[in-house]
Amino acid sequence: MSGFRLLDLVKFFVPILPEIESPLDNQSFDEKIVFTVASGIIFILAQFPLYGLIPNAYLEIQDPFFFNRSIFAMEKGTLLELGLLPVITASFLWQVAAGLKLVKVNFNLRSDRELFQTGQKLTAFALAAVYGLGLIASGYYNNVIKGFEPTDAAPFPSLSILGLILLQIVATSSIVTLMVEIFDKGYGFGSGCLSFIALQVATTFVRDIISFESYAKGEVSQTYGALASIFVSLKDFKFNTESLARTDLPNVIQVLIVLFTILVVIGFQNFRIELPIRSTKMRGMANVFPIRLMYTGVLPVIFAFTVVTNLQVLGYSLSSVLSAFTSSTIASSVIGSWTLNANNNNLELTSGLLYFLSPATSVFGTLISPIRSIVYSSTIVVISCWFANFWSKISGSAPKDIAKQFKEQGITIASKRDVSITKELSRVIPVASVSGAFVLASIAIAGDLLGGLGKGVAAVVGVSAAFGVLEEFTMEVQQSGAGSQFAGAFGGK
Amino acid sequence: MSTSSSQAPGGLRNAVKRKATAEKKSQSANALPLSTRAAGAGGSSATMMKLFTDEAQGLRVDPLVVLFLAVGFIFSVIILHVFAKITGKFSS
Repeated sequence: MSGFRLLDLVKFFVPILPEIESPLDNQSFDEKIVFTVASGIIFILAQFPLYGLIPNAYLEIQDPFFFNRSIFAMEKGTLLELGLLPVITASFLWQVAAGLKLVKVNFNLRSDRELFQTGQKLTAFALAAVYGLGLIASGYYNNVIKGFEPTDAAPFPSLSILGLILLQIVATSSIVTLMVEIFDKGYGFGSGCLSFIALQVATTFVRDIISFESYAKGEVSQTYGALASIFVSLKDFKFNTESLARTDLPNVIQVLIVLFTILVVIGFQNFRIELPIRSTKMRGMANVFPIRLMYTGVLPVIFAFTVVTNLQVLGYSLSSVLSAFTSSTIASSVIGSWTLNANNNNLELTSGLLYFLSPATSVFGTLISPIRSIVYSSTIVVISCWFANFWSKISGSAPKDIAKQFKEQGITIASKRDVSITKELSRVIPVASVSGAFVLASIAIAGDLLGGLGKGVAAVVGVSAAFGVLEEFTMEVQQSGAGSQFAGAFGGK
Repeated sequence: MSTSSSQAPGGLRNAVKRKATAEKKSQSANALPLSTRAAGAGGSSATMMKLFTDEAQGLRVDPLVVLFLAVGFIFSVIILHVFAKITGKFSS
């Protein structure tokens, strides 16, 4: 033990942090389904409007984060205001820091692993509090708080209502973190974060297409869903072109971008290189070992957007606080300045550093600000590729680790000597993971540049996340699905 | 130098080089794992992000308790909304 470790700080908080009990024995298939569905329903329920805001607050909130909401399930004006952002950020912070050896962790020790895990949870809670405070301090909710009109005497809402909002946001975020833990501990399928992202993207997509909710917009009422809007107008024997390109509610173009993105991503899921392997113990046992193009799945893209979204959230809070509490506007405008788009209440970046880390809102916008488009796209792509390379080395699926597994199982690559397996694998794996990340990031960026307002990114992330979960699900079905009540009921056996 | 550079059959010709490769090998063999999964425990894999797979010390809670508390929390917010609606109707 040499010197001070960040991990030791976590020890102080260990006794008060809730820790889900691990399942005593392996959860049965049915129990897993029940836990997965129950957590999913609770997650959806958490998209309930915050108490203390005016009705339909989410139409009125001036929203600076509109383009990366759906990736992190950040639903504005609801309990899930922060969504999965704190927990995903916390996990990346710790795991990347450990991979870069910025924090000293000896993963061979069980006690260190436990502290590491508790550190992630503590960070998730702390980040939720910080972001919640930041949003409230930035005056994000000021124009939607019920019964509050800013006057010269009282320019800020009362502390009690702000405290109540903060409490709701932070409590929901903690609950989400604990539900992620329920998934990860093996009560549900796959990883909590990815399952929730997939769930969120799926429900948002369906809502964007066929939601029949209607909103009064001036004199006319509009239907939320893009196709539903056309459908409703057909009822009156006219064709409503409003929903083709409207910017305040989902439009047909976004739906098409999402649909196209989903198809492309599904197509790429199956790309793989198959290395011929054979058993060293038995003669004639030949098989293939697939190395997928998406070797690191969708994690690189999520990581890139986690970085960007965190910068946006922190930058927005900081900039607002700076401009509210200091007289000079230089510092806040260097970070970024926003203008309100009155049509959809989105706050669009117009200048500052953050401007270059945000996509344009339409194809036209992309073309007239080429520097921003290029900087934004290359930031995302470069971060994704770096992370893919890095992650493929540290995540326990590095060429060295796989070669070790091969040796334990008595497998070798056909016509290669034992020692050169690592070399052979390291010719394929980094290339596959980096090019896979490049492809996914490019698809995501393409949707954004065409004016998808983050929906394309969400589709990429959601579909790939769903594939990851599905993989684990099917494996589970094959292993223990036989005695399952659900498989009996739905499989028609 | 004549003693140390006695050739090993099939090995590198130079003793310094041999030492360097041996060191490199031992270093890569003894390198600490950089993630929980690399250490052989659960945790994030190449495609899955998992945070909480070990059972750590702390305030033990049953998963069902968490789910029920979550539902309770959301319902308490719903009830707040309902109360606000009712009192709003009476007072205005």
